[in-house]
Amino acid sequence: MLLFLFYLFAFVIIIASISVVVNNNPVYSVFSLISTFIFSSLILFIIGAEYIAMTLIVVYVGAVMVLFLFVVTMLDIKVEVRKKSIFYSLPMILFFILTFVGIFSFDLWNSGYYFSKIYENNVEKQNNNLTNIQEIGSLLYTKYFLQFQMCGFILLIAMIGAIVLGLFRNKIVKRQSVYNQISRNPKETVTLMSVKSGEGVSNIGSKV
Amino acid sequence: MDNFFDFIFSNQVPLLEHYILLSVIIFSIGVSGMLIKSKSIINILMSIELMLLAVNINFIAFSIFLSHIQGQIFAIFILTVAAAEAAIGLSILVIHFKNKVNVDIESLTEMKG
Repeated sequence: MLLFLFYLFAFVIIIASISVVVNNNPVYSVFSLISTFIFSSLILFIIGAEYIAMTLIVVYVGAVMVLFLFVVTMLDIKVEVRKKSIFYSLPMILFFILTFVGIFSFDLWNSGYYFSKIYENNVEKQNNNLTNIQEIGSLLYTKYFLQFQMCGFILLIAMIGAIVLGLFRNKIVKRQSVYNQISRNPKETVTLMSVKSGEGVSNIGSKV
Repeated sequence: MDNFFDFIFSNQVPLLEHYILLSVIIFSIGVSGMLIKSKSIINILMSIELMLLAVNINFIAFSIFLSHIQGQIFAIFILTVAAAEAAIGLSILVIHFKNKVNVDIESLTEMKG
């Protein structure tokens, strides 16, 4: 039953990730990415990594994908047809997919379940029945404590960067104001002056 | 039909090879999403998230099947970095396209040589 569930969820994941790439509507594309994450979290539940699966849903779907949705609704991305078709760079894509997937498949299915033999022989299994989060916590706060603190530091720097990019608007960054550009009145911007040949225009601000 | 029900309720479990192949397929879909002439940069950012998801699945599958928990710890770090990178990438996108009005990739020609 677990293998059948794995095949079912993997099928949905592949269809959803193709829909992320191919879909014209960016909102549908973000929704397909959300369903990709949720079904991959279910696949991780099958294998026994329940803490990582819930973290994937809470952090990735609940925060990062919501951020994507905010940006997609804020920017005016129109549902248009692409200017160049999907198959424009098909040789490059086919080359990458065939080499990458081909090498992996050839290595996996022709070497007779190589990894299964590795993990049957080489395992030091401790039957102490810890849950997933207990196992992670016993190493994360003791042996990898420095890396854990650096993760917090990375998030702090990302927060500072996002706030700085969103905050300083008026004096430092030069912006275009499309409303001012469109609402120009041609009668007020161009003046017609009569100039004698050989002379320049000395008083620019006057109107003739 | 009986063979199908026998397959559903049999006691087979997924092996490591299934997870590796799934991760490879998701990664290649993400790469091809980046190589396609996409309409906007948000498609590229979503393809990056797909690639990071594929690498996460790979790390976690190896960690469970080889009984080392370090794979899942590294998957937590990858999750952190992916969230930070998505936040900064999206804020750069927002502030760049507040100036311009359209989101086309074809109109990003300021750094053209």
